[in-house]
Amino acid sequence: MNYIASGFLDALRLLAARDAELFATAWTSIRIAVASTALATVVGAPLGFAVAIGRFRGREATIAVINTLMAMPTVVIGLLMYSLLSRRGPFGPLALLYTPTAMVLGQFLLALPIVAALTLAAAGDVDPRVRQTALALGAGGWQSAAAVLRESQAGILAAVAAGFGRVFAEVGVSMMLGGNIQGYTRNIPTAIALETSKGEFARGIALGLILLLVALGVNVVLQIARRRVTA
Amino acid sequence: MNAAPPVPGREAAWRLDDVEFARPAGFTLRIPALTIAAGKIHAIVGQNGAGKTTLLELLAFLAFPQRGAVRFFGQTAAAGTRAALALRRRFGVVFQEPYLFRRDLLHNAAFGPRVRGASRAEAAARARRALAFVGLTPLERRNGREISGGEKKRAALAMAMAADPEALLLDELTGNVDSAYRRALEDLVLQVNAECGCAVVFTTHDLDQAYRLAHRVISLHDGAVIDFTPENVFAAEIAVEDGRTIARLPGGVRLQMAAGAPGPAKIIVPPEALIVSRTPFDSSARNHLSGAVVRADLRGESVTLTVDAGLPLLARLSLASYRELGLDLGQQVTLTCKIHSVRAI
Repeated sequence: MNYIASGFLDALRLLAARDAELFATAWTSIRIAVASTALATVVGAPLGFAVAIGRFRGREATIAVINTLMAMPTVVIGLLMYSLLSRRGPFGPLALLYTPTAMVLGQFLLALPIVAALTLAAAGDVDPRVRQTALALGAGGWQSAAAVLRESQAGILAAVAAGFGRVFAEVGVSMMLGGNIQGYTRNIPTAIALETSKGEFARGIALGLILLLVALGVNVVLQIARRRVTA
Repeated sequence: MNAAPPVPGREAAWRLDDVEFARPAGFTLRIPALTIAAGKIHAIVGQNGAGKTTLLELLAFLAFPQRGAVRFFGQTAAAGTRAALALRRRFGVVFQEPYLFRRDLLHNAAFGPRVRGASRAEAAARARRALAFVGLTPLERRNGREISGGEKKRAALAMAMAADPEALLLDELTGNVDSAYRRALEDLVLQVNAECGCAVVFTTHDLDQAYRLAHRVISLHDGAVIDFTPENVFAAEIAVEDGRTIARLPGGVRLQMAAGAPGPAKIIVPPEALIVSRTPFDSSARNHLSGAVVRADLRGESVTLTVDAGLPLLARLSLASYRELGLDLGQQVTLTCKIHSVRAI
């Protein structure tokens, strides 16, 4: 039991000493997760919104597919992207495997269905009177869609937060596509996995604390934003 | 658009021709012909499911008939067209349970002008004016989700008014509204009509309210406009005589009421409340009128008698009672009713 407590104290010491490698790893994590979440938001939020307010054939099937993809295991996406990016794969010549770009792409695929599905749910949950009210007040098709979008802002922000949470904490894609290269593709989750296997609990716990703090920070920011849009 | 400006009250604002609108649930609204005059207040009355809201949506170009045409000052449009949008922008609509956007009332009221292309400043100015009109200026910074039901109705009226509509369509004007707010809303409707001269169409199932506010009442039943002549509604003068409230009706008919503000009023005596007898009888009821039966209409199990008691009064009784009384045309009868049955509307 003692090694857990001492590991925790050592972790605080490392954080207090602003261990350079620790912070480099954290920064890699943040950069890649922010980039992939941003990409997933740009693609996923409009996609989810369009499916939510659109009326087209195969809509129900599309929703089922998006919801299913939400449960996609990270290692499956890792495997899929690995097969595409590895040297024998169709995109092998691009030499993207074991680069931050590959990690961004993998995490993007991971976050995309989450952002899309939760945006879809948020926009779908908007009171049907929003559109009707907008139309009755003289809004055109796009203007009424914009009104629905405005009313579902809080839910869309929650979708983005969920997407970020998913990619920021995942190991599978980062490990398989990034390769855990120190100072290059090593992020917090892969570093924790490595440190734990080495028995370096203190570093592992320190990294875990940073992970939680960053996640907390991101959620606080998003929550403030949510409050602003609902107020 | 239209060449000549509408003359309030003279021109038909809406004209419905051979309109048929079916909902997937099986309800169908059929209106062979209906005109609604410009500049007037119209009430659409009927029970739940009679088609009031559907008719209102058709008038607002929010729903479109499968057959026939709805025209507003001669113009019609199909669903989803620019013409439909252009027509929609000429109306202000207030729904039964209005939705307010998650913004302050000022933003809510500015929505109409904004989507019509008004500048931010112009839209805000109009929004302020509309909120002042409905008396919500003190709440203009309040979030639309955080105000009471009655305030929502008034806010929705301001949202509709801010865009300077040619006609105002109100669904269940005072549905789910406290009686304190009801009066204020009714007054606002009269004020809107008087000030901007725009046509007002509202639905209600409060007949009193319909007759009190509207120039014309359109009655719907089961998806059809029914020829509705209000039964036993009379213009009267209410006066207090020896501490009793008396309604003086045309033809020298006097009816005592439980209460009523002195002055001109519309009086209703429900035909069901009039007891028919061959001779006067003693009872606690204070109103007795006599006259000859001039007409008897049988409908189902009830008979509606028209009695000439100085003015034609309708009295309804069951077929069994009618037979028991052995009434013939021309027969003198007495009509009796309690003072509480005579009401001002």
